[in-house]
Amino acid sequence: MAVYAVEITNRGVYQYNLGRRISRDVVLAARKMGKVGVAFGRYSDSPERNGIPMKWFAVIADDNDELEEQMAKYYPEIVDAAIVLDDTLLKGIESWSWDGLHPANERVKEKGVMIVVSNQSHDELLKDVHTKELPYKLITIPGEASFSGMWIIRDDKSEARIMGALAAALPDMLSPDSVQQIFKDKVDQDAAARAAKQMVTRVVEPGEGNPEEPYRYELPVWQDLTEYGIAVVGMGKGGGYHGGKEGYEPTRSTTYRKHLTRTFRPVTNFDACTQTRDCWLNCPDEAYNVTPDGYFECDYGACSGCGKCAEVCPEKCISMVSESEFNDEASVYDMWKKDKAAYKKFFEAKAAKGWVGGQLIGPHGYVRKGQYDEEIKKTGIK
Amino acid sequence: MVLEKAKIGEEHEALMSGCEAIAVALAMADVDVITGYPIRPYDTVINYIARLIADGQMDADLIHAEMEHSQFEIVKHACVSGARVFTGSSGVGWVFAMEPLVVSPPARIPIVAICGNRAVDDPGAFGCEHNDQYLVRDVGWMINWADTAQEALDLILMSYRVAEDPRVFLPCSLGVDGAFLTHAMNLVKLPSKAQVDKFLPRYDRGKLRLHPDNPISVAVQVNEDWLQELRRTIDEGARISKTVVEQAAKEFYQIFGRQKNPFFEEYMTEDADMVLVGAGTLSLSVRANVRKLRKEGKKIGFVRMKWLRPFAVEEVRECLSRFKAVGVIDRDYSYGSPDFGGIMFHEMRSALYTAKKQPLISNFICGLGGREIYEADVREMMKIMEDSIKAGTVKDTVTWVGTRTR
Repeated sequence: MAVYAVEITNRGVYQYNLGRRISRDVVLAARKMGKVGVAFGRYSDSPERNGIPMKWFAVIADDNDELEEQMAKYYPEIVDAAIVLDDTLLKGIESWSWDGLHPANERVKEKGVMIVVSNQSHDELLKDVHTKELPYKLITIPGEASFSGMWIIRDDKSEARIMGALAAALPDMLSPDSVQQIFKDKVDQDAAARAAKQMVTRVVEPGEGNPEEPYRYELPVWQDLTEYGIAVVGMGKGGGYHGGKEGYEPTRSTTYRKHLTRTFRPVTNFDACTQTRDCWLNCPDEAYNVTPDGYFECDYGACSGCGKCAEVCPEKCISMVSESEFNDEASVYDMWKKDKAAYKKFFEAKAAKGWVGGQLIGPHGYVRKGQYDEEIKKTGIK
Repeated sequence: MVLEKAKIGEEHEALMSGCEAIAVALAMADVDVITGYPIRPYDTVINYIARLIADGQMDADLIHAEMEHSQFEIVKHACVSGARVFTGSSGVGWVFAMEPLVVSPPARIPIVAICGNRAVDDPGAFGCEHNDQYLVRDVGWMINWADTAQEALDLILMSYRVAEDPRVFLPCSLGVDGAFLTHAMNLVKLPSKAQVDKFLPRYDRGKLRLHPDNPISVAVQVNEDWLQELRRTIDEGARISKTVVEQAAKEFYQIFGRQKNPFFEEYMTEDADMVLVGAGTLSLSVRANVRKLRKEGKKIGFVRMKWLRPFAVEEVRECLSRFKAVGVIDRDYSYGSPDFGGIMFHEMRSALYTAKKQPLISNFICGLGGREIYEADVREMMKIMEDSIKAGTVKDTVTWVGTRTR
C-alpha cells in the first residue's frame, strides 16, 4: 500500500504545457508499473494569465480505493516530490486565488524531494527558499527555465530530464525503467538517463534557508462581508498631472502586488537614458514612476516582468535580468543617485546576464524564428 | 516528449480529462454539427474536438458561434434538419442561451449538450455549482450528472440514445463538474466503434425532419385553444423518457458492462441507518469518508444520483424510505425556498412525501464555487443525521456546511 503525490510548480502560460505533460507522464509511467493515477492542475490558477505561478499535481496509488482515499482531499497537502520548473519561483508562490505567499517547499514531506531546474548553486537557492521544520532533499538539474509556449512545444528535453531525475530520486515511486518506457524516442530516453547522473542532491536540514515569515491574508466570515455581497476596494486616483517632465503620477494598487508573477525584471542604465519616456508610456502595468529629475524608475512591486519597456527603449538602456539575480526589491534609481560609479559596475554585471531589447532571449521565450535552435546548440543539450 | 494520439474506435485505456473523454464519445457517435463559444470550464471539450477534427480523427462541422445564444440556435436548426448535434456551455454562458434552451423541448429537438457546471455570476467565479444546469430542470430538458470521466463518456452515449428516441425527442444535458471532472485527467476505458454502433442507432427524425421534400412548420404560433394540449404531449415525452432510460441502460450494460442502475448508485447502503444523497463529483470525497466512518462502526451510506430528469420517483422513494435518516447534499441553492433548502433537497422531500415510511430528511448546502468537501464536513453532516435519529425528529433542516461563520 503506497500512495504518492507529486506537484509541479511552473510560471504562467509559458510553462503550462510542460507542467501538464510532466503531471501526465508521472501517471503514465506509474501505469507501466501497474499503478493507477490522476493528473490535474490547480483550477483556480487558470486562466493562465501572464506570469502567474501555477501548479499541476499527479497522484498515484496501487489501486482505485487507495487513490480515492487520497483524492478525498483533492489538492494534496503533502507531496513526495515538488518539481519547480523555474528557480525564480523559489522566492514564493502567490496563486491567482490569492491567499498569501506560499513557499515552494511548503508541501514537501519529511525526507521528500524538491527538484529545481537551475544553474544556481544550492547555497544561492537557499537564500530564497523558505525554511522548513523538516529535512528534505534539494535536487537541481542544471539548465535554464524552459519556456514551452502556449501553442508551440519547444522541446528542450526538460520533460524527459525531470522525469529521469524524479525516478532516480524516488525509485520506489517510479522506476527508471517505467520512465524509459513512456518515452518513444531515444533522445528522450538518453536525456532521462543522463539527468539521473547530472542532478545534484543536497539534504536541507530543518531551519536552513530564508527565515522570512511568508505573508498570509485572513479570510473573513460571512457576517463580516459587506451588506451587498463582495465589493473590492478599488485603486486610488494616483497623483494626477504634475505638468512638465513629471507628467502623470500613475495609479497603483497598494494591495495587489505583482512581484511574484515575474521571471525577469527591468534594470535601467540611467547613464545612457535620454528620457524619451517610452518605458513610462508603454508599460501596460503603469509600473514606472517619474523621478524629480525626469528619469523613469520601475516600481518592482507593480512590474509583472513583461519586457515591453526593454523592447521599446530606443536607447536600448533597459536590460531584462533574471529574478534569480536579486534577493530584494531595492530601488535601482536610489542606488544610482547614491554612487554612480558603483551603479555602473552593478549594471554592467547584471546586464551581461540580461536581455536588452531585440537580442538573445526575450523575457518570455524566444523572439525570432530559428533562435531556439541556435540557443539549444549552445547549451549542448541534444 | 510523450506524444499520444487517441486511437479512436479501438478498445483501449487512455489518460484523459472528462472533456476529452466526452470528445472521444462524440467522435464515435458520429456527431454531425457542433457549435462552440468559449467559457470555462466546458470549453476544453471544444478544444479537443477541434484537435480531433484537425488530426482527421473526427468528421464533424465545428461552428464557432458568435455567442451562446447562437450556439444553441444553430444546433437547434441543424437538429431539426436531421443532424446529430452537440454543444454546451457553463454558468452565465448557459444562462445567456436560455431562450433557445427553453424553446428546444417544445419543438421536440433532441439536442445533446453538456453543462460544465460553474457558479452563476456574480461574483465572477469558475468553480463548480449546480444551479446553471438546474435552470433548465422545469422546461423539458432531461438532465443528468456524471462523477468520473468514464461515466461522462458513458452518459453522452446514453443521452443520445434516449434523446433521439422518437418516443422522447427531448433535449438532454449532461452535467460535468467544473475542474473536478472537466479538467482532471483520469484513466478511461475507451470502447470500440463496433460497440458504440451496436448501442447507438442512427438519428432518424422521420416525418418531423425539416427538408424541402418534407415541408413542415416547426415552432408555430398558437393560442389558448391549442397550447395546453401541446404542453401535454411534451409531458408525455418526459414521462416516457424514464422507461426509455431504463431500456437503454439495460442494453448499455449488456454491451459495455456499466450503468447497471441508470438512475442512482448506492454505496454501502445494505445495513445503513443513514445515507447521504448527492450528484456529481462530490461522490469522490463522500465515498472515501463513508468508508472511513464505516471503519469506526457508523452505519452510513451514500446514494449518488445520476438522472434527475427523468426523475425515478418510485425507485428513489423505495430506496430512501429504507433508512432512518437521509441527508441531501446540494452543491446549489434555492434562495427563499421552503426551509431555504437546496434544489435536490426539495426534489427528494417531495418524492418522499407519499412514502409509507418517511426518513428524517435534512439538507446540507456545501461545496459552492468549487470548494472541496472535506472530512470534517462529512462528519458534521453525519452528526446532524445522528442527532435527528436520536431525537426522532429532524434537528436542523438545512445547514450550510463548511461556511466561514462566527
